Amino acid sequence: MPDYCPTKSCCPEKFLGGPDFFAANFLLSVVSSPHTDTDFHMATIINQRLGKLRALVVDDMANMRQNIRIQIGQLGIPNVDQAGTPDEAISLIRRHHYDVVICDYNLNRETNGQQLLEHLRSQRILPAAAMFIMVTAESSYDLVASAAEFEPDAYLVKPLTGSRLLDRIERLLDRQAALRPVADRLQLKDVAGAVDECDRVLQGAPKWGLDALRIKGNALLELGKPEEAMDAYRKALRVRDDLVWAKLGIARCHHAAGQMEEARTAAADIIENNARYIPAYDLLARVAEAEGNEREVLEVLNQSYEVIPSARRSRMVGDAAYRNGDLELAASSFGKALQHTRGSLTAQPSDLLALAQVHVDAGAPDLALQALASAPRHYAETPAFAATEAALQAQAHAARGDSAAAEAAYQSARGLADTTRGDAAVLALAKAAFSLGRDEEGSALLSSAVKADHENARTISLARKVLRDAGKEALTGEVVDGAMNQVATVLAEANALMRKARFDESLAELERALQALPENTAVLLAAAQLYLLWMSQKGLNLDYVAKVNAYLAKLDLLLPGNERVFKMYRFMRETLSRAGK
Amino acid sequence: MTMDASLAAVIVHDIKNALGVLEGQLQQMTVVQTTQDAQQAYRSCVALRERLVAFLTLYKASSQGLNPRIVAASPEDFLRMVLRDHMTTRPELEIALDLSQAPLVGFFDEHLVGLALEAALQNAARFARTRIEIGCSGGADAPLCYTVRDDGPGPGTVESVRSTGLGMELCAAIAQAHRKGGASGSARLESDPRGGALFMLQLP
Repeated sequence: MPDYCPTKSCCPEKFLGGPDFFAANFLLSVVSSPHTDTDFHMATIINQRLGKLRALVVDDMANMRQNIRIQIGQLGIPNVDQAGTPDEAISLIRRHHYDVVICDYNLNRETNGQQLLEHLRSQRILPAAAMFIMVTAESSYDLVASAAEFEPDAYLVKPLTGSRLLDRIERLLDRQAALRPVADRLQLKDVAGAVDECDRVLQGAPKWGLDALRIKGNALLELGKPEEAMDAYRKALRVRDDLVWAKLGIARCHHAAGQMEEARTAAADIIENNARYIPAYDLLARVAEAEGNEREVLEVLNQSYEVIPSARRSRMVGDAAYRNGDLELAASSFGKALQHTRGSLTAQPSDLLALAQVHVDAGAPDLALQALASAPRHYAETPAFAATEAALQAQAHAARGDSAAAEAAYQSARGLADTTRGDAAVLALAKAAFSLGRDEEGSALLSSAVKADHENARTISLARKVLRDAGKEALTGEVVDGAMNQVATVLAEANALMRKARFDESLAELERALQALPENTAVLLAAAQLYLLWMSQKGLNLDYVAKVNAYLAKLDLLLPGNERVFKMYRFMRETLSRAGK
Repeated sequence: MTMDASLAAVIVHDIKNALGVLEGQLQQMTVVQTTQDAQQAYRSCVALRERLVAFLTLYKASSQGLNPRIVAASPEDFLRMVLRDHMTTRPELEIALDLSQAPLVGFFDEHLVGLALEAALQNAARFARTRIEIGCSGGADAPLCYTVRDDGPGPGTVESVRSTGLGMELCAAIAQAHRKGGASGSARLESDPRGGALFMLQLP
């Protein structure tokens, strides 16, 4: 594979090697002056590509959004909706498919355009293929653009003209078209196939070579190939040695390869030169987490909050502070997250629950009850929220010495909680059980929470914390480690049966485990693998194909972007391809 | 970099005068409306908006500095966009695009460099006789260089109505804001060996 050259499809001996390789080989072309009298009235452009698009304009000023709507309508996009608030935008995006969202940065006091984008992307409300164009004021555009956690597809500066907007949309469409084979592979979870497609883009469409290298590096990291990913990022840095995403890619490769010191140095170097580049802080936090340095995790996340004081960052700081036992910081951080999103659709019920838990732990049960009482009514329609809320009320009442109220709330929580899951509701319920002196129930609940996903480091860490806070640290070995060992034993037995070619018995063992632990990611992966192995030995079985698809779909939700899940998708494709022959 | 007070005053007066012209054109349209009047008022409005944006950018450069958002972009796509957006004051001029030396990918802030090239185009249109040529070169280890040539009398020509100098100041501020390592960009206006003036915006 030759190096990427953004000029010609093949120049293996030279990487961007001089003006001759750089020349785009366009002849001098004469361009008629635009905006002459003859074309003064903007004629409707016959452009099928644009005509098919549906756009949403989000701006709090009615005349501005109306102006944009008319302008882009005249230039070829007939389907343009408008939203005056972030909530209206979210509501419209949930109901309709938009290809383009044009959003003003300054929306209202609660939510700016960046926070809206963050919500849409992190909650997966906006399809990945949809373009998001951020419109900023002259004075703030560089500040907005330099500290974006979720990058929009483009920034445009006010005043916005229809022709400039359309030009940008057209260029983004060109990019999408050039990278479509890559996106199609990724959509099918065929990450290895996406890497191959990136190589084709590098050879055939060098104009988009840097985009291809960026995606390729990321894909290789997802495939667990940090050395090859490093190669892709180095090629990008040979094009321009200050590309911050490529430098971060190198740091991520070190992290993935377990080279923590190198990863730390590379990430710190990025921050030194680009203090507002948030992904570098997140990587530093991951390095600190991998080294078990919770205090450093908290410090780094706190620094990142200084750069982007968003609800998402507050939440991350609150979470790290809580795990670190810094209840004061945790309370203020979850409080800020609530403040950032108050009265908005971007609000997350979990912030309220987390704040209430911090108040209980800090010995302020009244504040916890007050926080819970402030929850919008519709939150309680979600069983998980109602269960956690009741468990927290039980903890708070117990702390106030109101045993009757605590008992009633506990029973309500028990009835609502889904104990097959290792979620916040079950952990809060276990904590409530301990606070009511129901140690056995508390232990059983914790054990089931751990078993529900025994490789989930966060659940395990929180389960240990519940025992520590309840003064039952001595039970950790029995409850937490014991639960982990139990599931590990089931998996080992299923593996042993499989190795003896006793597939059906092994499958029965895993199916039994899945009945009890439907969201245990390790069991789901093992089951998917086993069904695929069965088919690779005995041929296609449509029921098994359906099962594997269902397991992988569940894993997609439980472990988004996980390397092991991608590998299983690949294994499925290969197995089905062989079995189908 | 601090903005010269007398330059700021000249620019603001210039904008005020342009606003007065626009007001007159709009006033005329309240009496009699013709397409030609509307076109003229529209052009005046666009020119005024461009001057205001240029002034605000220069003010920002002097008060808080410019922080370019340098991204990879196709100079060809970019130049075509600049030309599509360009509102000429002299429709009779031919504007040519020379992409023979343009790299496929360059690294620059499209918004800022767009402002600089628009200012350079406006400047060239004041002096060109028949033709303006806009181009780009560079790549690999050579800096990216945008050029605007005109076939006018060349630099140093005295106009009957003197310009404010806003355009060149803006271009210089934008060029200097583009930095890489220890290097920063530059904006120059010199005599073109082929005759006329040659504007060069060089970016590291």
